[in-house]
Amino acid sequence: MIPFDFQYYRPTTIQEVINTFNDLDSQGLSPIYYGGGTEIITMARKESLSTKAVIDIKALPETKVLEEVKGELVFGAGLSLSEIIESNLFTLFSKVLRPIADHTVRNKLTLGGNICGRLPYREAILPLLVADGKVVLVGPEGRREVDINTVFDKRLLLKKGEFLLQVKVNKSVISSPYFNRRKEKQTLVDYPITNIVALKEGGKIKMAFSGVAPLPFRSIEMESFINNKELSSEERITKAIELMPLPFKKDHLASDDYRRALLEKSMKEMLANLEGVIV
Amino acid sequence: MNDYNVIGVSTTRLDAKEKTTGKQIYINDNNPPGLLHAALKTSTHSHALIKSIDISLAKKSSGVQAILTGEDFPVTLGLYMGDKPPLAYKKVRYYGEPVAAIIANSEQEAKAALSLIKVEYEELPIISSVRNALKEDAPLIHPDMSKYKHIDAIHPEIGKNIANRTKIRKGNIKEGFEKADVIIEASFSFPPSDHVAMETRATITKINPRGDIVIKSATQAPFIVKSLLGYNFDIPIGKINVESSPIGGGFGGKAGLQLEALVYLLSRAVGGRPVKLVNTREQDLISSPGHIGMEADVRLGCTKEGNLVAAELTYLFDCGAYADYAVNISRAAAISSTGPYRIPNVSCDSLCVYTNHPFATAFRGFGHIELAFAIERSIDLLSEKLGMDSMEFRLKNAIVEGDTAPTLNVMDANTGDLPECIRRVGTMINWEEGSKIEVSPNKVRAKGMGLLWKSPAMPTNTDAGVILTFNEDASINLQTGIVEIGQGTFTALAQIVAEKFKIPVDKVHVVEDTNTKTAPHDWATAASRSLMMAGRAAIEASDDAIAQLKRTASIPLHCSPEDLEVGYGRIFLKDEPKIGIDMEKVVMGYVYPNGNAIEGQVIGRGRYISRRLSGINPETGEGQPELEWTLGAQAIEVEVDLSDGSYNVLQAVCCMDVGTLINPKLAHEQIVGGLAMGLSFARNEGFLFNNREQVINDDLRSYKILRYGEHPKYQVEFLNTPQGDGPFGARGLGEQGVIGMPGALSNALSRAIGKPLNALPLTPESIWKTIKEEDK
Amino acid sequence: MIAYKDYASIELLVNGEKRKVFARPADTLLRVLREKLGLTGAKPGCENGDCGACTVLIDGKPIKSCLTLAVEVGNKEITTIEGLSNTEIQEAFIEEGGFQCGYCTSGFLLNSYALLETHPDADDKTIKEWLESNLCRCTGYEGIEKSIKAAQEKIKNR
Ligand SMILES: Cc1cc2nc3c(=O)[nH]c(=O)nc-3n(C[C@H](O)[C@H](O)[C@H](O)COP(=O)(O)OP(=O)(O)OC[C@H]3O[C@@H](n4cnc5c(N)ncnc54)[C@H](O)[C@@H]3O)c2cc1C
Ligand code: FES
Ligand code: FES
Repeated sequence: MIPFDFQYYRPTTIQEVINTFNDLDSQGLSPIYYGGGTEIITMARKESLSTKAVIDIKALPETKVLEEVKGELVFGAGLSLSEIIESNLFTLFSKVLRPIADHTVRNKLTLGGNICGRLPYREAILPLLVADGKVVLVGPEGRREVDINTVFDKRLLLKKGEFLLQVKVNKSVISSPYFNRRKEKQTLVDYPITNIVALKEGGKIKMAFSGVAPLPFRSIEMESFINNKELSSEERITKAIELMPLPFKKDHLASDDYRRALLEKSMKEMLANLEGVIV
Repeated sequence: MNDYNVIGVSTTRLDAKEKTTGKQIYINDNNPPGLLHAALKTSTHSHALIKSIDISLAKKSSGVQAILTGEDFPVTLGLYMGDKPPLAYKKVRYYGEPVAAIIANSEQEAKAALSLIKVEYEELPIISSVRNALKEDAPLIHPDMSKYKHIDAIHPEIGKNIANRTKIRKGNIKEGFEKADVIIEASFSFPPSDHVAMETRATITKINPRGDIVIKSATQAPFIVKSLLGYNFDIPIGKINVESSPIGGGFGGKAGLQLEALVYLLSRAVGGRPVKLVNTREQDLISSPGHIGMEADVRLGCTKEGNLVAAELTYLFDCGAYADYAVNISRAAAISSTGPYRIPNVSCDSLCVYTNHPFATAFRGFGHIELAFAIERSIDLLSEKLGMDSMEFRLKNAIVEGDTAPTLNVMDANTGDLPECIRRVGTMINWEEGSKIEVSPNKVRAKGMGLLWKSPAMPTNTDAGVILTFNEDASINLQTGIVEIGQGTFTALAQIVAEKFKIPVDKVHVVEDTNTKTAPHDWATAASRSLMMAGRAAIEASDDAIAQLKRTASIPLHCSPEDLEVGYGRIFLKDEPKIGIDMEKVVMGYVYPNGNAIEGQVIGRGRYISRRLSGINPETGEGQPELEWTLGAQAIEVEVDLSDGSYNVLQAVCCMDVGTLINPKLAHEQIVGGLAMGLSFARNEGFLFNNREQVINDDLRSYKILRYGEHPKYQVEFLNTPQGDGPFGARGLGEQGVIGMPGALSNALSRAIGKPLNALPLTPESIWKTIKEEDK
Repeated sequence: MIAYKDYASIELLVNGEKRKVFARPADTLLRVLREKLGLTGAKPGCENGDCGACTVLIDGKPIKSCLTLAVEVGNKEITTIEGLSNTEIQEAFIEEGGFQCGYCTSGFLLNSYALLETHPDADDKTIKEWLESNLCRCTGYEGIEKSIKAAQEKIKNR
């Protein structure tokens, strides 16, 4: 039971969305975009979120796009994770989305909500980061299509009133070798305590992480060490971990030591997998 | 083998259709006219003085009818010890304790007003563990303990944080250890946790204009609710009616007094209008009572031949802020303290200790799952140290008929055959193959065993009753005070009555909503005793009705009632079955062709009261508190990844001596459910506290229970040594499945990693840490 | 554009029937089904998306109704447990011990029903993937697992 009230809008065109946002904002209703609503509803029930109006973006046809367009795979932000998984356009993407929440919840929670949500996992972003994908953002100031790595720094850097419309990746990534290892405290249906997603392109490994640290990230510095074949495999891993942009997280799910151990293990498996290196 | 019609048959549950069509009505599904809704404001501190509660803003909020705080009810209530105010009064003693209640026209309005209540606290020193609570200079959580009323069977220690101490002194502990060649000492622990019944607690209460109180509640114990309300609020008990429909899981968590006292007070505050209070999941986890925590110290000794000779046991139960059932749990754990082992010299101190944790109530196994964890781990440690296979060690020391329990009670023929249970479990899990097998350099498969025993812990005068009335078509209405909590007792009772009358089960109609005004008295649907006791009452009621049927029939049949038999819907001459009369013609009194009627309707009455039980000696524990024992053995097989401590439970097996099976399928399902719950507890569960003793896993996102796909392959077998005084020879089995699981799991995992794991829950990280310690 | 500012009249298509309700935009589907339509088969077990007791089908797909606003599903087909009768999975739950207290049962049934309609031949992995969305505290999942298998057999012989 959500104890407070909010207004609900479901526009069908981008212009309507923008108008609605501006309108509600000028009334002081602090509107928020509504994707699957799974986070908004649960947080609202606990009153850890308050808003006076939500704008459901799922009726925008653009947010439901799921196809290849001119060499790019396009994923609408209003797609449910299940829809993306089942399409299997991008195997690594499907693989990473699959352990998020549970099957029934994935029928509801959206790509946009996972990436823009408050929960600090945002696992859907990981394959997009390593695939050097692009995001299409729309807001009162207009529409922009930008490299994901320039607007995602632990979180998607949205301007006021902006929302995620689509994400795109180059089709070529689907044939690149990849690696993904997600570890949970114990139960599979749980947040990750470590999740590493890696893609190998042009002989170089790109890596993105969630659960390991307080927020998800991709680090070019870490990649430079993991790809430094002059070092021993052990060193590549150790040095890369030393350069993590954020400290290991410690919380009720796992200690920092355990996260480190699992990450080291996963990275060894990654090297074995992507380079045939046995560490 | 007995030649039964429906006993021993897996008839379909009576509630099958309702429960598979969404039509079973639970308490929260009811919304009577004029209903008001309550919501609770809970404490954000684990120990603090309440400086002030400002309700002025909330009072003005839309739809709010009344707001109540502890100041409105400065009384203390309890089950065995009256230590708990209905709403925190002047002080909060745990995180999540209700401090105020709002009653409003709708649930939304009640909840919306919660955040408008402002509570000011002044923090007090926090007691975060039983060991801290027992320190000389520990602050007292209940400084007024001397003023609390309590039952005689518990022994609080004034001026300490000890709500109860139960002692067992059997044999001579000093001499016992002198005879021991091998001794182990170890400590065990697990945090408080929760029942997680899928239905959260819910109560609706109204007070009729004439002062009759009607409580609809998801309770396992309607009669306890009624008597405690009467006792605590000085209400003539006949004016209280408690109704319980089938509930969405209890596991002990809905026994005792839950929301009922508070909701009664709330209804009283709004002129008796119906008020509904439904726990949110978060409140059900932490505000309402959960599963007790424990720390235990065990010293166990055996001879070089492997015979147990002495056990010194200290059980420190973490009951949290209030005593509730926990005082009796600590007592039950003392009574059964050794587990099902023959130990001539025993010294046990079982303490119920206050801390600033959420408080504890009954939980499936009632003290036994807890003690069994400590004992079963100790048995493995001892047999390892002695160098004997742990199964062989268990076989050697398993308690059998003629041995004495810690209470000095002699185990009788009803004890059943525990050694055979162990052997069967050994076969099921393939113990011979070896209890530790390397699968690959980092993967090990290992097995662990745990034994169990349990006797109900209950008042010496625990009772049950059954009333049978008849319909014109000779079908039977069966009424008891039992509550359907998922266990299927109604089906088994219908089978018992059907057996007595040799009629199909569908001719027995069970009244499935329990109502204390119309149902015969029943202690509670707890302690696995409902089938045993109500079953006995059902037999007596059937016999009573059969005697009446015979008497009525004997008149038109012109014979002596002794010559008659009842069965198959008829009353007939034993030696000439063709001569008889249909039951239909007799159940409402016999009517002659000319219209004259005789005898009237048949009403069968059956009662049962526990037999020859007594309290225990406060210094030695000697006495007769146990009604019947159910014993069994369990084992688990795990596969562990030594590199990160993760593991899968491959198999969980159990063999239990349950006497006659009334309904084999129901029995199997009860045991499997128990195995799963015991496993889930040992594997996943327990509250996590921050340094202010606030629970940080207070929802099901973070408090994990066993899920589909994590469940192991189950195998269950039964032995059938009849229970002499049980209905058709049956004994209790509802709780037992959980008991041996924590011990079996920790034994298997300890074996796998070659290091002792003596604390629950057994998370991969805790295992990984233990493995690493070894490396150092 | 659909816009609900306050209590609003919304039309839901539930179990094949058009139902008009008056609800707040912030009301979850679970609450509306239970409190406005008297369809109490969907159960609140957590209202947090974690237990699955509230599962219903939206256009044939299992959804947690506690994570759904009623205003979101105005144009969709909603199936609750009250809309299932004499299905193979319901029969199987009775025969194979798929329930005890029954509180989780509606959710498990709807989820299993949708699973078997989508993948009648679902293998263990798929069954697990779908059913791990629901919690049951009573059965230890053995009876539920057996029920799914039994229902698969029944569906084959439809
Ligand atoms: C049971 C359960 C388990 C979960 N487990 C995991 C897990 O394992 N891993 C994980 O990563 N997450 C997990 N989550 C969290 C979940 O990923 C996020 O809460 C969820 O993704 C939010 O998605 P939604 O579509 O429901 O978002 P909503 O609730 O609709 O929105 C969430 C936030 O994102 C904003 N938003 C939504 N869409 C857009 C958009 N297109 N553009 C801009 N802003 C937008 C909203 O304004 C809001 O602030 C779990 C959630 C649940 C309910
Ligand atoms: S009530 Fe919806 S998932 Fe628990
Ligand atoms: S049958 Fe009780 S929770 Fe599943």
